[in-house]
Amino acid sequence: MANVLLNKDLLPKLERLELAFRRAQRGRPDGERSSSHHGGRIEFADYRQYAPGDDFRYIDWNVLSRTDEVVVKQFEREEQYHISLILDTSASMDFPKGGGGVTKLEYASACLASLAYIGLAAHHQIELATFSGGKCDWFTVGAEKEKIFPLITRLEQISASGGTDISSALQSSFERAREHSLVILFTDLLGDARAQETLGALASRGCDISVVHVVSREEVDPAERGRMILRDAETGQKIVARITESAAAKYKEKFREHCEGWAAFAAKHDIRFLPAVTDSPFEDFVMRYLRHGGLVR
Amino acid sequence: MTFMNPSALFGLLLVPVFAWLYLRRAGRREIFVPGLALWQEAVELSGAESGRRTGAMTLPLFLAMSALSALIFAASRPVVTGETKAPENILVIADCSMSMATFDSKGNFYYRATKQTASKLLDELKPTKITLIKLPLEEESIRQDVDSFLSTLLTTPHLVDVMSELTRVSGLAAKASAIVVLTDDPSKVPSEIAGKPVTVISYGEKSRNIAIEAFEVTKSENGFAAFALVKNHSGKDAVIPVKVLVDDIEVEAGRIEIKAGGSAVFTSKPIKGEIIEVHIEADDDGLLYDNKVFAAISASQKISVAYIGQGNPFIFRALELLPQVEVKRYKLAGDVSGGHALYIYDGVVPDALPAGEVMLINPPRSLGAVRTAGVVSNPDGIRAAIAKETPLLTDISDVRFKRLLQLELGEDADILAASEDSRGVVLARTKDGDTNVTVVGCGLDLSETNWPMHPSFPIFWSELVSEIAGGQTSGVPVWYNTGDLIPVAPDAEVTDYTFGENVDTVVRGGRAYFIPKWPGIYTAGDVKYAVNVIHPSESANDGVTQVPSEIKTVENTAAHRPLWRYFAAAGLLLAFAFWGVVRVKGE
Repeated sequence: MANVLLNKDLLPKLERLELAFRRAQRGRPDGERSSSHHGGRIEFADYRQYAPGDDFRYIDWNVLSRTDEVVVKQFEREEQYHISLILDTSASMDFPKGGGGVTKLEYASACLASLAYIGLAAHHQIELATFSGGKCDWFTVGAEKEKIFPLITRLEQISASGGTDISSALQSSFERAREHSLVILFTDLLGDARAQETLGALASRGCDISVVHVVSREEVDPAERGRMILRDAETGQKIVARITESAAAKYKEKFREHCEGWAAFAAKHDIRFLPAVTDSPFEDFVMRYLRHGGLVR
Repeated sequence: MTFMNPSALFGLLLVPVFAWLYLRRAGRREIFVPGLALWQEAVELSGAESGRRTGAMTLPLFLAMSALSALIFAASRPVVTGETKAPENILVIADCSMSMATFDSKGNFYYRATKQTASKLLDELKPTKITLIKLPLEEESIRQDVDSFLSTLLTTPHLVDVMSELTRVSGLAAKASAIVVLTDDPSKVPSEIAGKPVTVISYGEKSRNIAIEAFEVTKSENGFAAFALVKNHSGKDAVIPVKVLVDDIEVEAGRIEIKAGGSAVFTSKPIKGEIIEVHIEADDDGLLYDNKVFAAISASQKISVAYIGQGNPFIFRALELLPQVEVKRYKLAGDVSGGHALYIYDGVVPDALPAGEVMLINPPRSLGAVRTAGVVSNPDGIRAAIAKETPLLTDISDVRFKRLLQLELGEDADILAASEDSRGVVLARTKDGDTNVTVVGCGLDLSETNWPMHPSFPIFWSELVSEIAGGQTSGVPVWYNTGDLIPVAPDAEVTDYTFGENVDTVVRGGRAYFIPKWPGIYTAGDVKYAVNVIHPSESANDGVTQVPSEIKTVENTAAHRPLWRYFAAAGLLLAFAFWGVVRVKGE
């Protein structure tokens, strides 16, 4: 399923990217990437262009005053980070159903694989967690580029089912977080009322958390009208309703509020919040949008 | 109530099927959503909860079913039968070809017989309106007084292709409730025109006609020889008396034997005279109009043209090409004697204009109504254009003039062609007392213009002489066919017809014509015109009698109240209401 969007032309481009870490992270100093946190500083090595997410403290104000160019100082210290990629595989991710388009699970899987490949290329330790219905399965991917293939195979074996329980997955992640430095959650943020509480707690412990909010176009702008039975993909609960223009407008308003609520929550807790719509070009999303969102650079 | 298209009622079986499909679609449509919570809130807020489904579906379902039923009902075309009324409009089409002037062995004209039958049947039917058409499609009239109008219809000697002509009346036929065709050949008439039944009233019998089908008069050493091809269309062998008349005097009589369906040529002895006629006289002949042929040896005197000037080879050559013209040349204006039909003054002018037709070419000074006012010149050539439509001039756009006269002409003058800036005159016509004056504003030689080398130059002379001569050639036997446009002298207002009916002269584009209606000798002015036999296919026609007992009519829709219109309107309204409700409710 990840192969659908992750093609061989994209892989070389991904290798030119690196994951951006915002918080002070713990890790073993044998990775290829340099860390920019103050505790890890050993020796000045070079300047590079400022990128969103860089610590202001490492901006070289002297250079800025002379050249009007914002650069940050880089220090040599090789570190290896632990990255947890957590994928929501609840039934709601298998949407849109039978429409011929990319499902949310497929889009999220491809996105996850892309980020994993960027991390593996830098020899970071990658772990995959999939959760649905209160059950969370962990899979250690490794730290070599070749490990992308077992990861993709694993992702292709996943099918969406069960309910959403983000809290359990995050709790499980929190328990393993002693050795982990970056947590990226791929979910549609539906069906778990306690998700924010758990995520807030995890963020308060200093975890660098990113949430890729995957939605489909039909969720953002539903086209269906008329009298129909709406059945919840996860719970099976149903309501009979007449979807009028007015009801559709109300729904869109509610959905927007839902997304804005999550965005506000993420901003408050220093969590990267990256909405992804499944009909947006995948390569654009990875190469440009994730970069603008500060998750890669 | 009756249904004009009852089979459409089977469509009502679709209504329950449609209802079932509608209910199935409306009641069972289920979609999965990733999260129901947002939808639940939205539905509650918008008040779009469906409530009891069956109740909510009632209105659109009712509207849809009603619209469908009404439209199906309309398609079955229900009408309420009312009082029977007379047909609204009967289209009567009369074949007026010459064969209809044939009479049967009892002396009844085909045409009269069909008209009488039509009158009788129309009287019985008493239609509210009658439209009468004469074929060939020359006129069309709507009248109530059928008898008087039918009596005014005459046959025409022109060839009439009835089948082709009928295709031209399909527009009128579509509006008619019945079509009646009067003809002598029902095989050419379709059973329906524009979906309307055609009643054919035909009258005729096996042809008894003997006709002269071709005629030729040629010049010989001792005068003229006439050849007539006589055809026997009847089923019997015949011995036909033939007479040759010259200027109304019988000069030769003979008999020719012709087998049934065969033909024979009659050749006259050498004859001299102005009008040559050949008559045949068959005892039992159905059509008389094709029994006489004529040739006119017209214009025994030549058109005398006086040319006064130093000589112009182009003018002489152009006039030589016209066989009826006799040119007499003079060098000095004072030498000219009278009696010419046309005086051409080339570069000279007389002291006074003679009566009749005068042409002034490049006049060196003013004379009478023609006053010279100056000269327009351009060594590169002046373009000219036709200023007024005239048969004298064709296209002169390629003609150039190095020098043109500026002329002051009277109010009655016509400038026929002038320079593009209208200052110089190429050709003008005016009157001075009894004299018709044609003025050419330049010398007609190549040092002044290239006109003599242009095709329009000989045409100009030919037309000029033709106008003066009234379209006649000289010493040559001429004849025309009926319907031909025959040119005559402009002053011939009326053409006399040998057998009493005069034909008016028509003036078009400065030329006078007449159109002969019947074979015979026409006289316009002093010139005689021979008009010959009718079209052979009209002579050869076998008539068929077919007298229907009644006129077939379509059902008079005016006698019914068309309920289907109301059902159609109601169906459309209900469909519109259904669309509106569905749109408002977002279904």
